[in-house]
Amino acid sequence: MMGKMKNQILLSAVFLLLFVECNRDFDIPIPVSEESTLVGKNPLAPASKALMEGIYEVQAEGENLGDTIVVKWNRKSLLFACNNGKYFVMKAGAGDSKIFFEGYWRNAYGDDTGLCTMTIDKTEGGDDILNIIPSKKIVIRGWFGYGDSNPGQPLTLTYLRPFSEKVQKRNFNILAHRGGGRTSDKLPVSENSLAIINFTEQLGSTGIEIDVRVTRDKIAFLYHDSGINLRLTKKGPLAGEIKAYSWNELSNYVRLIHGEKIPSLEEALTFTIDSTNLNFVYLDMKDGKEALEVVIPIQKKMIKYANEQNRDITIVVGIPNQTVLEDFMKFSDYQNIPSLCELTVDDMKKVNALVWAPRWTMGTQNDLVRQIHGEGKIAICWTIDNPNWIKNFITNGQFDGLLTNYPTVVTYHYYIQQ
Amino acid sequence: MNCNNCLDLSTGNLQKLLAIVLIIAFCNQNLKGQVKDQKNLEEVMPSMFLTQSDIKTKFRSSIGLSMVQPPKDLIEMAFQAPLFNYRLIYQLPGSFSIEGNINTIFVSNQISLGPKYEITKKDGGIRIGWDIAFIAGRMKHLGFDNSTHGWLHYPNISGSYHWNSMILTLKAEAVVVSFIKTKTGENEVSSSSNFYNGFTGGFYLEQRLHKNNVLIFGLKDSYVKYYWPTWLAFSTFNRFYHIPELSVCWILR
Repeated sequence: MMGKMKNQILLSAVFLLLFVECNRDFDIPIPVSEESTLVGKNPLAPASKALMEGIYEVQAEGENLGDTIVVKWNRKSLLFACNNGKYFVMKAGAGDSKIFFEGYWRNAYGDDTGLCTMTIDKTEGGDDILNIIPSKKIVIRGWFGYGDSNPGQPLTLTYLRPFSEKVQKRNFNILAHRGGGRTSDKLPVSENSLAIINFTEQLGSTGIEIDVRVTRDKIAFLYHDSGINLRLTKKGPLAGEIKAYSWNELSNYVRLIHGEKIPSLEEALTFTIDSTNLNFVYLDMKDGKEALEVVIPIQKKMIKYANEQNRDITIVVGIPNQTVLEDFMKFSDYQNIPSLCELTVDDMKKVNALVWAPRWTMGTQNDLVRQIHGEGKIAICWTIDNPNWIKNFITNGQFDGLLTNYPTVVTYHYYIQQ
Repeated sequence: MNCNNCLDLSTGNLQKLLAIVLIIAFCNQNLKGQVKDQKNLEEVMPSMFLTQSDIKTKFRSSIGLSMVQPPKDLIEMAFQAPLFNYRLIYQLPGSFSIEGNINTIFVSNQISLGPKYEITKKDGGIRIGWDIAFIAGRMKHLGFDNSTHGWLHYPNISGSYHWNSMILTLKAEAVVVSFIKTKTGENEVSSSSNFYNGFTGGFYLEQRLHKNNVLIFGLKDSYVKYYWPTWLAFSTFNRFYHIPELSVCWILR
């Protein structure tokens, strides 16, 4: 009986351990097609790409993609952004007066993903677009599917109109949180990594917010949490407060959750300037004065470097709280350092910040935003993820940008405006 | 920008609790024979799952705490807090009972009430029930004034088996959200109603320790989209998560 009882308890313990293990994080990989339809196809000219951008009517079987879709090119691909968080990342090529697309779709709020292949036929706008003639009729036809299986669900996008003049004239910032949107839909790319900075434009982002910390030996690097943990990093020999380690130790012994190295701030900014079209970088300061002393010289150096490269990019130091504000004001030239103030408008004026960035829960605050605009400054709101609120802030607010984990949703609601 | 501060109980803590459970269970081996020959279960061992066996008391209650491990992408910056539980059963005539539960981590609270019907055999029984829960929470932190409230339904069924000084219970329940609203200040952050939220499966071991003192070791997996203790994370994800919960309760009688 004793042995039987022990077996029961051991069985329970094994069951329990299995139970605890069931709460593993997982990724949703980007689906890959076995055969590419773009092999041997020619790249599209920028003018052809511009002709395809706009608002399209959607007809899809088996998946709710809404009634309309925003089609917008970026540095790497073509984005189809839906109003409910679903989006398509497509590559394109041309051949025989037709335009071919292939890529994948995902759900930013869920786990759905699959492959997609589409075409614009010669007679449905393909010929006109390739000859850079504005076409009255553009129809993108194709199929999407689930996982890595061949796409089988019909999808048709019919061109309705170009982006409105209001939208095209305005410089609206779609800022991706933690370098790319916190990978909310479980993209296999780590937050605050070079890989996500390289990726995020495909989600419609025009700028990034990155989290900055400083090592024991005064090297600024990108990392959000205060400690080394399994949410952000792979299992390794280091643990505890991340700022207790030297840059050499972090470089050699810590890998981000998807295997990337932790980037230094200088590496990240150099990469952003050299390898992307992103035009806004918000340095979210996670440490106090000691970090500012390291970060501000790097900021100045990289602004100078960007100017030398003719890159139109704004790099601002974030002031998230009173402590950082006070530390910031200890710098003799603080009024000339490009900064973003998350505090009050008065605090913003005190440091002559370039950007006022209230949190979204304060509401649209249109009167204050107008006041900021009157002084030649801009206002950006953080960190807004709820689709209804994104729509509300874009429709009823006057902010110059939104910081979000869902750049595709902001892209949709911004570009759909009349 | 620390967006998500909420409940998390690390694997390390769960392992500590597991160790305590195992130590108590193994130490208790010598007690198992004491009640073997007793015919009436309720005379020898109070239970929160087998309650109808010639019960002498109208009320039965337990207190306890739970360790929870929410997914890392839901809860990022964690602080640790146990989930306290108080449970009360009131016997009604004809194999019916009514059961109330209070669960709290202070910033997140759930109170539930529901009828149960029990079919009892010699060595076990089956209970079916339907609990209706009200959840409420509030937290003022870093200038944020966050609050939530809502109603949930838990139709449930459990089966229990008794041997020696132990009662093993398996319990399953569906989770249906009839309404939830979260607010920050005067702004409504989200509002949802009438959706199937998932289900839970639980394994409970009621272990008699000394005289009629009984501990309940519980292990539950909630496979849900919305997990009420983590409302402060303001999750925008629309996916199911496995959320393990390890609990230890003490029957008060």
